[in-house]
Amino acid sequence: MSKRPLLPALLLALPFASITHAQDWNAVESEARGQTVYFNAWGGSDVINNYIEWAAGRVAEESGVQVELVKITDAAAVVTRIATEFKAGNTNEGSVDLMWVNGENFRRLKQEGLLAESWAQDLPNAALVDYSLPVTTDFSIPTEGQESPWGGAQLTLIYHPDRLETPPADAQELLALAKKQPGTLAYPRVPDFHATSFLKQLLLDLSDEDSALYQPVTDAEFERVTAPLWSYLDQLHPLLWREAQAFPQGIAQMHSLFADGELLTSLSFNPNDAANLVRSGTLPEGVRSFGFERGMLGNIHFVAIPGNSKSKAGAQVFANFLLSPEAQLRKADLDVWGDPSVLDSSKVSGPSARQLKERDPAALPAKTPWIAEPHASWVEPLEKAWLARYGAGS
Amino acid sequence: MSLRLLGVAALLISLTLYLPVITLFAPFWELELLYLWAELFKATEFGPALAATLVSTLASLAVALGLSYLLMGALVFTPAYQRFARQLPLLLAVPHLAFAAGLYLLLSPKGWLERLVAPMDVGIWVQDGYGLSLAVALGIKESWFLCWMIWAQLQQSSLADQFLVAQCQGYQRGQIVRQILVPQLLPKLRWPLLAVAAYSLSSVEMAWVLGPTHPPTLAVLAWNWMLDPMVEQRDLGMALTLLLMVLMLALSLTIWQLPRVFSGIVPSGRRRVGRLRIGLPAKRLLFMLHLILGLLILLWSFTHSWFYPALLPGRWSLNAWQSLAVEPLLNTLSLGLVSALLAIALVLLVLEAGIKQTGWILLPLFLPVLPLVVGQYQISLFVGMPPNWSAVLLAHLLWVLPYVYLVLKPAYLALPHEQLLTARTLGLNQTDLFMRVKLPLLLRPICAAFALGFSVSLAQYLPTIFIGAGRVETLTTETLSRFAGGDKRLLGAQAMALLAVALLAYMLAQRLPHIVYAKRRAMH
Repeated sequence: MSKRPLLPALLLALPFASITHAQDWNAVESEARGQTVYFNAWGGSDVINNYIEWAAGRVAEESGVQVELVKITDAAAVVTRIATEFKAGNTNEGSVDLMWVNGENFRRLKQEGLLAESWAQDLPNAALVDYSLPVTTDFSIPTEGQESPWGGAQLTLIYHPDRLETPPADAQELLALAKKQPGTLAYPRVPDFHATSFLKQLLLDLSDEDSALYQPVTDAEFERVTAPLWSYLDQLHPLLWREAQAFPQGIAQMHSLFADGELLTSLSFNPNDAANLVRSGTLPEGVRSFGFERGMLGNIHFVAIPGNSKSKAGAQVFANFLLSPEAQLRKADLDVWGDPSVLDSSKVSGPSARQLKERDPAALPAKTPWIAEPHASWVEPLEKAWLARYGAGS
Repeated sequence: MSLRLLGVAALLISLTLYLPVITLFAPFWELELLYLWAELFKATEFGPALAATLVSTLASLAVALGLSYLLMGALVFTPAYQRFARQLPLLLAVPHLAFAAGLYLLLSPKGWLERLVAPMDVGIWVQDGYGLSLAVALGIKESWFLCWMIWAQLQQSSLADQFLVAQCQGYQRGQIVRQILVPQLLPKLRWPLLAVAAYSLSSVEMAWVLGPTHPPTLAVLAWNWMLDPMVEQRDLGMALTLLLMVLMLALSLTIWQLPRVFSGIVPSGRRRVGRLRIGLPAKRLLFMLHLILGLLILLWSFTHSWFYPALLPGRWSLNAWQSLAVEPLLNTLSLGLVSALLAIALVLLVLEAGIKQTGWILLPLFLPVLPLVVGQYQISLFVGMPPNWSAVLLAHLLWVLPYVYLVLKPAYLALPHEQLLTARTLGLNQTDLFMRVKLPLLLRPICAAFALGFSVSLAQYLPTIFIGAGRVETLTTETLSRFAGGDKRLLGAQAMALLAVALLAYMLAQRLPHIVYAKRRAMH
C-alpha cells in the first residue's frame, strides 16, 4: 500500500483525537465539580503546606474541587493504609484520593496494582512538561501514566564558607574532611529518606556509577557493588557526629545543628533549600550549596491516584492544576517554596520562562550534573544491610 | 426511661468501647508468633532497643518513686502540704508532650543549657543511647501523679493520726515516713505504679522526642515497623507489640512484689535523726524547671532566628504563631469536651444503676497503649468505620473513661448516706434524687473528672493519628509533627498552644463549682 492516503487520514484524525481528548477532559472536569479530594502529602514543612493550601484555594474557585490536605509524616505508611483498605475489600471508597509519591513507594503501589491507571499523560498541562527530565520513569520504573510529575529535586550539600573553605568534591575528600575535623559531619539515620539518598550518592560515587545499579538488584551484584560502600562507612562512622552512636532525626534537625555550628554541613533534596532557609531565619546568612564533582543524585517527585479513590476526577483536575504554569512558577518562587519546576521553559511564554531558569547564589549551582536514581529495587536491600551493620549502634 | 435501663445501656456502650481490650490477644492466634519472635531476636536493633526500653522504664519508675518519696516525705502534714496538694492537679495538667518539648529545647545539643554554660563542653544531651534522659523526664512527670495518688490515700486513711502519735513520741520525720507511711502506702500504690509502668513502657510521643534514636525504644520501633511498606516488617511490628504485653506482665509481677521489700523490717524503737530536708529544695528546683521550660517554649515561639551561643533570640517574629491552624484547636476542644462529658455520663449512669463489677473500667490504664490502638484499628476496619472525628472520639474514650472513673467512683461512694436517706423519706424518686441531690453534691468531683478527662483526651497521640488516619489533627498530633519538622520556632508555638489550652481548661474546671455555687458557701 502506498503511503499517500495515510497522510490525509492522519491529518484528519489528529484534530479528532484532540477533540475527543478535550471532550474527555470536559467530562472529567464536570464530574470533578463538587468532589472532595484528600491529598496526602508529607506535612513537615510549612512552606509546602502553605503552597498546597494556596493551590487548593485556587482549584476550588476555578473548578469547584475541594482539596483537603492530609499531612503525613511517612508516605510508606499511606501505601500500607491503601494496601490494607484493598485487602479489606474497600475498592472504591478509599481514604486517599491523591498522594505525593515517588521511588520505592511508587514501585510498591504499582506492583501491587493499587493505582489508577493511565491518566497522567492525558492531563492538558502534561503537554508543557519538559520531557528531557526523567519524568516518564521513576527510579528506573516506567510511570505508564500512573503518576503525574510535580517537581524536580537534586541532592544538595549545604556549607558555610566561613567555616569550611573548600567543600569536598567527592566521597574520598569527604572522608578526608572527617579525619581532619572529627565529629563535625553527620547524616540522618536510615531509613530516613534523606539518609538513604545520601547512601545512594556515596554508592554511586564510590562505584563509578556502576551500570548494575540501574538494573533490578540481585544478591551477587549487591554484594559486589556495595562492598566499597561498607568499607568506606566503616572508616567514616567513628569520625561522624557523636561517633555515629546517635544520628540526627531528620534533615530539619541537621539544619538546626548546622545553624548552631555543631555540624560543618547539612543536607537537602531541594537545590534551592539553603536560599529558602536563610530567608526564613533557619540558617544564618552567607551559607552556600555544593555538590560532588561527578554530580548529585536527582529525581522527579510525582502525584498518584489510588485505585480505590472515589474522587478520581477531582484528583485529576487538581493534578492538572499543579502542572499549570501558574502553579509551577509559584512553586519555584523562593519566597513561596523554591521547588524546581518540571515545565519546559520553551513551551511557556512570557516573563515566566526566564523566571523558571533563575537560581539564587545560595542554591546548588545549576551546572551540577544530574545523576539518575538507581533502580528502585536497590533501596530495600541497601537499607536492610545498613541496619544490619550499623542499626544497633555499637 | 428509667435510670436503671439507662445504666444498663451505658454499661453495654462501655463494654463495646472496651472490645479492643478483649481482642488484644487475637493476633496471638493469627500470627506465627514463635517464628516471628525468633526473627525479632535476630534483628540487630532488638537487643539495644530492649535494653533502652527496660532501662528507661525501670529508671523512670525509680525516679518517680524516689521523687514522690522525697517530696511527700518532706511535705506531709506541714503547713505547706495542702498548698502543694492544690498545686498538684495543675502540674498534672501540663501535657507530657509540652513538657518533653520544653526539655528538648533545654537539653538538645547546643540547646539552652549548653548555651548557658558555654564555652564549657558539658555533653548533656537528650536522646542518649540508654534512654536515661527519657527516664528522668518520665520520672519527673509521673512523680506528680504518684504524689497525687499518695495524697488521695492519705485523705482516706488514719495515717494522719498515726503520724501525729509518732511525732508526739519524739520520732523525727524521716523515720516516721520510712517506718509508718511507706510500708502502709506502698501496697496501695501498686496500681498507680502499674499505670506509670504501662505509660513509660509504651509511650511513643515522649520516647520520640527525648528517647534514644539509634535504635529507638521498643514502642517506637514497633510503631515504625508497623508503618513499614513490607508485610513481613509489619508482622514483626505486631509481634513486637505483643512482646510489649509480655514485658508489661513481667513488670506487673515485679511491682506486685515491691511492698515485700519493706515487710521484713521490724522497728527497733530507736529514734534516728532524719528530717528529709532535700525534699523542699527539690520541690523548688522542679517548679523552677517547669517555669524555665515554659519560658523557653514561649521564647522560641516568638523567634525569627536564634543561633548558638546566643542566650536570647537574635531576631523576633510572629510568623510561628501566624502559621498555627485553627482546626487542630477546634478538634482538640471538641474531642476533649465531648469525650469527657460522655465519659462522665457513662460512669455516673453505670454507678447509679448499682452495677457492682466495674473495676474492669480501669484496665486500659494498666495495658500498653500500642496493642490497644492496633485492636481499635482492626475493629474500625472490620465494622467499616471511616477515619473521622467520631471514630477518634470513640478511640479516646477508652482512656478518658478509666480516668474519669478513677475520680468519680470514690466520690460517688462517699455521698452522705444521711442526706440521701432524708431525700428519699421526703418522697423523691430515684431520678429526682439523682438529678436534684446527687448531681449537685457531685459537682466538684465532676468538674475534677472533667478536667482530667479533657487533659487525657488532649494528650492522646497514637489513637488520634491511627484511627483518624491523620485526618483529624489535634494540638498533640500537630506538636509532634512540628517536632518531626525540626523547626524549633514552630515547635515552640505549637507546644505553647497545647500547654495554654491544657492549663486554661484545667483552671476553668477548677473555678466552675465556685461560679455555679457563688451563693451557696457550704457547697464550695
